Amino acid sequence: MSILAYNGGAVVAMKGQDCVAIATDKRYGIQAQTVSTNFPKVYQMGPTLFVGLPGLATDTQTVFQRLKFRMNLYELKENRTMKPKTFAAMLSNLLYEKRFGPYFIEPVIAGLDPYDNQPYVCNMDLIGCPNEPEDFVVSGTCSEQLYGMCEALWEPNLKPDELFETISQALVNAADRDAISGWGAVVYIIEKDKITEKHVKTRMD
Amino acid sequence: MALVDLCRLDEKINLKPASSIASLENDVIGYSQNFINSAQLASPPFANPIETLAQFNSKDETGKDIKIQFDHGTTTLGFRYKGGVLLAVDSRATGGQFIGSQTMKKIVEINDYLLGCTTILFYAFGVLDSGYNWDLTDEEAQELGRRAIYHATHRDAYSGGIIRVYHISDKGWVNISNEDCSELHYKYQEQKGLKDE
Amino acid sequence: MLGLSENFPEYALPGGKQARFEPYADNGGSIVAIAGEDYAVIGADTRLSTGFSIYTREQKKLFQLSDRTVLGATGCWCDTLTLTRLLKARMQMYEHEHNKSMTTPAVAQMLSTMLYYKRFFPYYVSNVLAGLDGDGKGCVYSYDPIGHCERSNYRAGGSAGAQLQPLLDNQIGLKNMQNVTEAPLPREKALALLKDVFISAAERDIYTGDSIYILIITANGIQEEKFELRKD
Repeated sequence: MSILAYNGGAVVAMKGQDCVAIATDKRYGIQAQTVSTNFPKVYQMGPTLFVGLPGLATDTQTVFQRLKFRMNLYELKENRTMKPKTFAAMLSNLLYEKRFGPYFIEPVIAGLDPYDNQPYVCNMDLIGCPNEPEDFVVSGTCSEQLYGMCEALWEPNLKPDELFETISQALVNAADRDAISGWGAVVYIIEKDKITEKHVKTRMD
Repeated sequence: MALVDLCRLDEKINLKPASSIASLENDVIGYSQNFINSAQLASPPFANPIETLAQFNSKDETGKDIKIQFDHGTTTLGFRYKGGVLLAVDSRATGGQFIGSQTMKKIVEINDYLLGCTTILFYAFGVLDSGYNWDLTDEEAQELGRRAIYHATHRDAYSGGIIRVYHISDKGWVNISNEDCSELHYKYQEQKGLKDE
Repeated sequence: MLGLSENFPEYALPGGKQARFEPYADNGGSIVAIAGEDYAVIGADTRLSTGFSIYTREQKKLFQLSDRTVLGATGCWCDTLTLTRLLKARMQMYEHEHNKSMTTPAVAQMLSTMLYYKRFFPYYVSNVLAGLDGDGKGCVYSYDPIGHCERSNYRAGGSAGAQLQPLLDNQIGLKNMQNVTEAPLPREKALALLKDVFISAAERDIYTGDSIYILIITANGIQEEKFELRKD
C-alpha cells in the first residue's frame, strides 16, 4: 500500500463565479482502522485563502505548521496579505526542498486574490509541481472518483449556493466509493468578505 | 516416471503432452471442467502458483500496472443462545480500497434450514462479548448482533453497506432485518442524545 | 516457464539474457450498463490500447450472446476473446441440449462458474453483462476476475470504472439526494446519462475514448448506436 494512502482522506476545490469552494472529508485512519472522525485536512491560511493537505497525516500537520511559520514571516516582513498564487509558489518551494525525501502529501489550494478577488485553485504533486486549472482540482485517495464526479457536475459561473451543492455532491459520492475516505465532510465557500463553513452529513461506514 | 517423481521434476516442468492439455475436441469442455465437477479447478500452467501469480500481478510489458483485485467481504458474526442461532452480516465488497458493492449478499440461503457464510471479523467481538449471555430474548439477541456489526462497520473501512440479520431456530431461518448502516448510525446517535453537527 | 537459471543453475547460459514472461496485458476500455423496467442499455468505448499507444479506435467490446443478452468485456483483450469464444460455445451446447436459448440470469451464473474455474490463473477481464431476465425486466450483472457476481440496475466497469461508478450512484441510485422519490428510469434518460458519463471519462482516462458503441436491448430486439468521443 502506498504511504499516501496510509491514513486515507480526500480534498477537492472548485472555482465559481466570484467565489471558490474547498471541501475535505473528516476521517483519520490507520489503514483499515478508523481512528478519528474529526480530522479535516483543510486549514485557513488567510482571510480568503485555504489549503488542503491530504496524504500522510503526520506530514499534513508538519507541512501546515511550516507553512504557517513561513507565511507569518512573509506577512511581518512585507506587511501585506499573501496572494493565493504567492502562497502556491511558497508551498511548491517548501515541497521541492525535500525533493529526495518528500512529504507525503498532495496539496490543494483555494482562495480569492485579496487585491482583485479573482478565484484561484491549484493542486500539486508531493514534490511541488503546481497545476492551476480553470475549473477544479482534486486530491487524496479517491481522486479518480472525484475526477469522474467533478467532470460531470461542474459547470462555469456557479453561484455560491450552487457551488456548495456541486462540491458536496462530488465529494460525498466519491468518498462513498472509497473505503478509506469519508466519515463526515466539511465544505468552505469562500466569497469576498464572507466565509461559509458547512458540515455535511455522510455515511459513517 | 519414477525418476521424474524422485527428482520432483514435475514441479518444475509441465510434462504432460500438449495434446492432453488442449486437444481440439476437449477444448471447450477442458476449459470448463467445473461444470461437471464443481470442485475441479484449472491447475495453473506453472509451478509455485502463489509466488508466480504474485509476480504477474505487477506490471505488463509496457510497464502498466496489472492489478487483479478480487472482491473481498469481511464482517459476519454468528452466535448460539437459548433461542437458536443468530447470524448478522454487512454487505460491502471491496477490490483494493475501491468499494465494489454495498449490497453484496454474504449469506447464502441454501435451504429453509441452512445458511452459508464463511469469513468472520474480530471488530465485532468487543460488542458481542460485553452484551452476550445464553438467556437473551430473541429481540435482545437480534439487537446485539446488529449493534456488533454496526460498530464494526463504523471502525472498519472494509465493512459497511447493509446490515442483514438472520435468526435460525428449529423452524428454519428467518430474515429479521436488512438495514442501511447510514440510517442505523443516525438512529443510534439520536438514541444517545447526540446531535451531529 | 522453466525458470532455467533459478531452477537449474548448472544449465544457465553464461551471458544469456533472461526475459520474464508477462502473461497479462491491460488493453484498457470502459463499460457502462443500465437496466430499466423493460430494457437494458450497455455501452463500451472503442479504443483498444497498450501502454501509451493505441492499437485501434474501432474495437467493439460488446458481445451479443443472444437476442436478449449482451456481454461487455474489457481488460486483457486476449483473455476477453478466449472467454467470450468459450461462452458462446457453451451457450450453443446448452441450446442443442435443452432446445431453448439461455436466459440472461442463466448466462450470468454460467459466466461466474467459468471465471471461477480459472481461480488460480484468472482471466484478467472486467465483465458487465446486461439484458432482459426471464420476466422481461432489464438486468445488469457485474463480476470480479474470479467470478463473484452480483445483479444490480447499473454498473460501470473497466479502466474508468472508479470514475464512473460514483456518478451513477448519484444520478441513478439517487445516493446522497434528499427529497427525491424513486421513479422508473426512462430509456432516453438512461441513454443520455450513459453518453454523459463517457464524455467525463474520456476527459481523464487515457484508456477510454474515440467513440462509444451502444446496444439497447428490448423485447423487440437489439438496437445499436454509435456516439463519438474525443480522440486524443
